[in-house]
Amino acid sequence: MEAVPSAPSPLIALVGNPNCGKTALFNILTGSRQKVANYAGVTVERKEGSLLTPSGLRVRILDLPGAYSLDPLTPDEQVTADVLLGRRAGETQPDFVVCVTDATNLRQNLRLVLSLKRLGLPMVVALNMTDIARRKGIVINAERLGAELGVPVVETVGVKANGVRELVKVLDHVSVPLRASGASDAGRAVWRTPSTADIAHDQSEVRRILGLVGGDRLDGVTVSDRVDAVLLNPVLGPVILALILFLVFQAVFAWAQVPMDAIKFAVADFGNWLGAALPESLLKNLVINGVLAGVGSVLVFLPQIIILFFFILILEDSGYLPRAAFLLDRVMGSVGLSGRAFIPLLSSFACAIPGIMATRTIQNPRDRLATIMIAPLMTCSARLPVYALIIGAFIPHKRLWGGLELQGLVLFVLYVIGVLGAMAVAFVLKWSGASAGFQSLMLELPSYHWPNLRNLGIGLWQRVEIFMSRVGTIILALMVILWALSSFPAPPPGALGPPIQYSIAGHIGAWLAVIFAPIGFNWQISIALVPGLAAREVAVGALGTVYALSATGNDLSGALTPLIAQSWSLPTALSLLAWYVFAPQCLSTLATVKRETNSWRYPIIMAAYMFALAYLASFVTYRIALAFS
Amino acid sequence: MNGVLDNFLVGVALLLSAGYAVLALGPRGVRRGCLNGLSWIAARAPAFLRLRRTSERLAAAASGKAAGACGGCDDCGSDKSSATSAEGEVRVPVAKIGRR
Repeated sequence: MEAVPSAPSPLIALVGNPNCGKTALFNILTGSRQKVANYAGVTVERKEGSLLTPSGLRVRILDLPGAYSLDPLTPDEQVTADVLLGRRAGETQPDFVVCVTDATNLRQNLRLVLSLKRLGLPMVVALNMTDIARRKGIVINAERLGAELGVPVVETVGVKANGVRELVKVLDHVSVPLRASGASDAGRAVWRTPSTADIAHDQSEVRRILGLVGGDRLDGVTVSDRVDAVLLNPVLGPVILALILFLVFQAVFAWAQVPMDAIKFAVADFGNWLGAALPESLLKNLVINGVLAGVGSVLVFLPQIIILFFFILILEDSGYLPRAAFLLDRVMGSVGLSGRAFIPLLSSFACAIPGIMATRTIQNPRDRLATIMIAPLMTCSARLPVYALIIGAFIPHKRLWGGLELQGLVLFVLYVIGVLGAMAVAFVLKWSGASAGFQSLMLELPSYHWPNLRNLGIGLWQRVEIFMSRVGTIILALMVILWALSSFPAPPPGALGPPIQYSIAGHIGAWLAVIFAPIGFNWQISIALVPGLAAREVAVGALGTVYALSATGNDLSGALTPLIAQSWSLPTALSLLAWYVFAPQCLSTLATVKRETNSWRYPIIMAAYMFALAYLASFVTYRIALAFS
Repeated sequence: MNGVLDNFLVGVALLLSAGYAVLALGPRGVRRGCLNGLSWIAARAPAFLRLRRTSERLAAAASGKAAGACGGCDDCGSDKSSATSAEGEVRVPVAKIGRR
């Protein structure tokens, strides 16, 4: 059936407390693949998708950040309140609200339902996670709940495709006639900040409703409680956390070797085939030395990125991550960070950009700013190829006691140094008064559950897509440009060195080498640092291209690791590792900081301090390594 | 291979790469201007080239949010289907956050 023409599609907003399953519901309803995880604060921005109802109406679905009330305390709650109240520029007020509630924690969720009712927008309540509630023995009379609230209530299971059938039916039957009658025109919702009497009334109303419908049952000792008794133990907890992270980094090296070798050989074979098939020409030089050497040397790190995210996604989906935040609260508090900073900082291990955006869940502005300033010091996945390249070239592939991989151990240490660096900077910010000092942490600990295979698959596929899209777009484009800069102008007649030395890039590299010589970087590394500002892993591709053009024979990307092992000294390699632990972040991160702080001041300060820190760390590392070698 | 064709292909690859790099990494104003310009050209192309939809897509991309610089990340922007995402960005000054 065709969508109703002329009339604009109704806008339906998914609203609810954090971590009640709004985004899982959104993904099922719209076929989207937005990130879901088992902790509060995953969604910090509005997301929009569309749904074609059985009656043929196209409706727009809006997924909003979780909120405990319509009186916002944090920027993500502000987004939700502004959208619902029609105060957001360029955004129409929703025609209909789906209030998603967690059936296992109805006591807390009902307060928001009552606030939304007071707002006056047409609404349906989705009683989500009913499967988990039933397993816990919580039985809620949905019909009675609907009668008490005066709105339709449907039971849903947001992680299962058939778990939302009833909700779609209700949307079809309620929102379509609503739209047709024009009853949902924006502007009728009225909101006033609740008074103390309103809050007290809501609390007693929640108690009354829970008494009537069930759902007020307090569990005894649950499985999650028993697991937490071990994982949150003050002594055992931190040890287990360190052990888990350590094993993750071991696996990144131990498991990735075979697929990495396969990609390496495939790229090399393809290069050899192309080399034989194409006649000597400028195009052949571009394809082999520019594209294949550059892109191939980045592509090889895909398995390691997949393995790293496999573990991160499992930890996210299982509900362990908020526990880690709880365990580290004291440590973070001692350097002036809020425990709430843990999730943004953890997100920064994937990429600093979502990490910086996730700081919207931090209430205190000074804490938020301090977290933004240190988020890029967490080792993002773009740095993994750089680390893996240098570790692969300079750290022997051998096992220590207990079968531990030495390379994995070094990688773990690099991540730890990044974290310690961030803590040190946070401490300085605290000392300088830029952070708010210790604040108590209030955090919802979700129940543990087995990771959902669909979410895990989607999450991993997204990481592959992101990585491949970077390789196929910005990295490819920069490699072509770098090849051109490294190939022109041609060397003068009688020149003895490799042609790249006489090229534009060669001259730039020679000039930059003056700045970087004190920290042990040669001109090839100096060239690679420049495109590395676009995205850090581009530096690996750039090294691949620069070394391919520096070589006299037909060296290909697969040979980059032995090539740098041959031409760099150990102090240089260690210095470059130290550089990338603190390296100035990519341009996109700076742009995000500008957007989130609404000022150029902070990105400029951030770039300056990170450059200074990276240079200092590399200088110290290089000089110490030189003294010992 | 023909030397002229060879140089032409290399030139095209370079132009495309430079254009993409400017679009992905350049300032938002430049990106918007470039995409609007391309959309304008595509809209005025002869009908047999069937570039009308391309023109519409370019115009939509110009009004949308750049996701290209970092390769696009699952959390760093609004859903691509949103037509109002550029206006929908949060611009909350740090000092005003968390104040009732």
